[in-house]
Amino acid sequence: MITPSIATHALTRMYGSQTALDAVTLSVEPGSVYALVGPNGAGKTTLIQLIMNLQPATSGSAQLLGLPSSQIRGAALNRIGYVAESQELPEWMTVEALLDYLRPFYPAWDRELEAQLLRDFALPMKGKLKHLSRGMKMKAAFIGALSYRPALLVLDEPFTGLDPLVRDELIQGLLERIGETTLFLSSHDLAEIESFASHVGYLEQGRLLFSEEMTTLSNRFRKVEFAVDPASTPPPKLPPVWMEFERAGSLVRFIHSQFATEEETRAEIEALFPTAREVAFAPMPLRSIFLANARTHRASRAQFESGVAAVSTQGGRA
Amino acid sequence: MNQIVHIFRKDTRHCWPEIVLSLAITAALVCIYPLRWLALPGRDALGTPSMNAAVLGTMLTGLVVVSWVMLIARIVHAESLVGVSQFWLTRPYEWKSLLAAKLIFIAVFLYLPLIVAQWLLLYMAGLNSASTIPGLLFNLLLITGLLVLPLVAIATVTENFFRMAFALLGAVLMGVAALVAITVQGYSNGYNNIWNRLLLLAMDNLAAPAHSLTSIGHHKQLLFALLFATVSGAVVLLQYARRKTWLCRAILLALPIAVAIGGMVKAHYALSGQALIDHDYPKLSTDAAPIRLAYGVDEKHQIIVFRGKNNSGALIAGARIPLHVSEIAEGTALIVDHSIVTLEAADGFRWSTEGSIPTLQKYDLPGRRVRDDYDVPQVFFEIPYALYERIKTGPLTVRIMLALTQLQATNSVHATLPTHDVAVPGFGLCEVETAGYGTLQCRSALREPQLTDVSASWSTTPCAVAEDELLLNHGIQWPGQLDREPAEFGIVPIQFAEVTYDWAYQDRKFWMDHLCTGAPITFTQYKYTGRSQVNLTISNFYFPPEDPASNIDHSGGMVH
Repeated sequence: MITPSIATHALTRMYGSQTALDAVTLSVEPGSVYALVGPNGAGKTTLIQLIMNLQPATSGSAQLLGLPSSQIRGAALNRIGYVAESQELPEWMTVEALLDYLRPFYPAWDRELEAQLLRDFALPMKGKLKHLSRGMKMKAAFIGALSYRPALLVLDEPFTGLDPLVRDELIQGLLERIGETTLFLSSHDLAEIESFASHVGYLEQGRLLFSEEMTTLSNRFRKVEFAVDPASTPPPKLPPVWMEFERAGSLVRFIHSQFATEEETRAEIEALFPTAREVAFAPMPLRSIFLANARTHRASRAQFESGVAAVSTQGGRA
Repeated sequence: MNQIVHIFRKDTRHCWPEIVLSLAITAALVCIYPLRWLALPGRDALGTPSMNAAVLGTMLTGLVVVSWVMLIARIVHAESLVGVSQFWLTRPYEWKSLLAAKLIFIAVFLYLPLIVAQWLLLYMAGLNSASTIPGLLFNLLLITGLLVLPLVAIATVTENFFRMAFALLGAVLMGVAALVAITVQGYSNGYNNIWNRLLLLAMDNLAAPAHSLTSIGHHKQLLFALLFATVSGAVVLLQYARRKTWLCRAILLALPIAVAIGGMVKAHYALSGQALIDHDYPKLSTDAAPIRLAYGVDEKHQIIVFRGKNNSGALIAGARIPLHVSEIAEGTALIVDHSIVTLEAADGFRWSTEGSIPTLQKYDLPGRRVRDDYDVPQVFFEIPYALYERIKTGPLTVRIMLALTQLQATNSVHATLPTHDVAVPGFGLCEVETAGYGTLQCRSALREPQLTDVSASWSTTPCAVAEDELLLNHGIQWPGQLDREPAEFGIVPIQFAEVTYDWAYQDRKFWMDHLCTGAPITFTQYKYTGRSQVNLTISNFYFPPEDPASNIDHSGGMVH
């Protein structure tokens, strides 16, 4: 059995009574590019900081390269790279001094790779980090994290605030490492990771709503449209896998989140809407899938919370 | 090991401006401080030489400490242990190597320059010898426990220099507020309450509150240093190994709170007054007592009563009861640590000074030395004026108890004051400061010297008059202390003792005396031999009428 690069089990982090991460269980296969996506405040950075042993979990467990996350320090970091948007670099150093300083920490440091990355990223060696642009600093951080060929590279919002050119350069640098390095990166910008992620996990308000291969995800979501008799009455209950159901006159629209085949779905529709005709299926871009998921999750959560509030109000009055 | 050296080199490169600044301040201290005693050209240029050198030296000593705070903050915060966004946290640092690199930095750029500077200062003061090495090491231990480790600990729980400075400022303000509260409350809330006792402990020995009023044999510096070193060291280890910032902050915050609570508990349960004295000052039989007291009024021994106000502004009557002191063995001296006077009237009225705050100028011996051939010994006390009004018609029974520390002379050095340094083995080096009235300026290595009786012939006329016109007067001073810790906590390893007789109160007049070159001088060192209490009961005592000419405010009980 292959040891996953990252495995978490019911990983939870509470700040007081607030749940930042709610029993997250996921597994990242070696060699994969796992994109952790979700809106701001979803818990992506918290999850990464927990697995990197930057802060302790309230409960649950995490393993990196077979090691418990609580042991991710010292020599264990020889095989793990980490770059974060919020990371503080020793800004008094030049790029050259930074690399000179980092090199002796890593037995596997590859000077040829370092030189190649320096060339690819066109990074000035003599400028102090504090005088460099954000993009340049991020490039320096990438070189410092890639040059020892880590088995696992963890990136927390690495492309936030970068111009498209720098972002492409960095992504290109990462693509060249795919295979030898497992990539685990978080982002709230879906477009930037859609092109190269092999797996994706979606966090919303601390909960991992799904975690699967990109192709599986794309295949199981479909936008469905069909026409019905305007006078027909809708069924009392819709399947839970139908998201964002809308009806405008004779036009019905929804997103199927467990799409298998057109025939199966057509039969499912006809069972509920006998007058259904002109059924059309359209694949969805990743961005639309996430937006649909986010809206559905928030709507159901709001519905749940208003229900709880109503119950508690009634209880109070009683 | 490679990682230690690697981090150390990085820190050295990073902090070189601060290192240079710290070394420059230390070098300036070494250059300027000796002007306190060296007759160098620059000394005159500074104006009043020793005073200006002392002020400059004190400022530079403070700056050395400030530069240390800066260096410690810089190197610890270079790999800050607070927060989650630091670059180094996700690099393969071994915490032991990181901590070792920081400690080596402190050893190389704080301790090494300090040791060199201290040795140079001792050398320039003429006090360097192999015998000072244990003291230097002891001082280094004190500096580590009381200054460096606490600073490192605070740095490990703060994010940057400003937060660290803020924490230090808070700690200083807290300490000052506590001291002010204890002092104000201790003096203004009457006697024998918790504040009053806390004040006694703070003045005497807070770490190991003595059952005694002098802290002979107590290692208060060492105890504090070990306490602070243990707590700070634990915090530093815990932070580097586990980064438990809030726990470590709580531990550091708990330390002064624990000391304060410990002090209050100790103060609450501490013995006071007669019980305290009975515990530490055994009552000896008349034959074994180191002194014999008697009472008798004659031309020389007169009771004086005057009216005045005490420290709280309350109207009091002050009384001085003269004593006849005899049978002090040759070579023996006595410190009166405390005295209790009890007044009993025939109608059962009883009043005692037992709960009063004693004057704890432990070694102010001219005012405390009980010898019949030196002025007139007398016990002084204050009584609320209303009570005095009630009992002044007498007769009274007066009970006097003196708590004594006994000293034995060990060796004497006789010299004639030259114009330059005179070396006194076991004491230090002394020179006559000819500016002003002429005082003896003595310096010693690392700590005040052992308690020493400095007897000299002082002139009541200026030294400039012809030698045969000098009006010589015998004077005694008691510099030094009885504690025997090998060093006083400090950056500068030289202690100064000024032996002066400029202002002497004698025969109800103030005299300004002069110490002139050529005068004979004797240094007699004393060692602690024991403690005891002596008691005297005076029956049928009557207060005389008040003497308005004696209305001088004093407080506490002491023998003159």
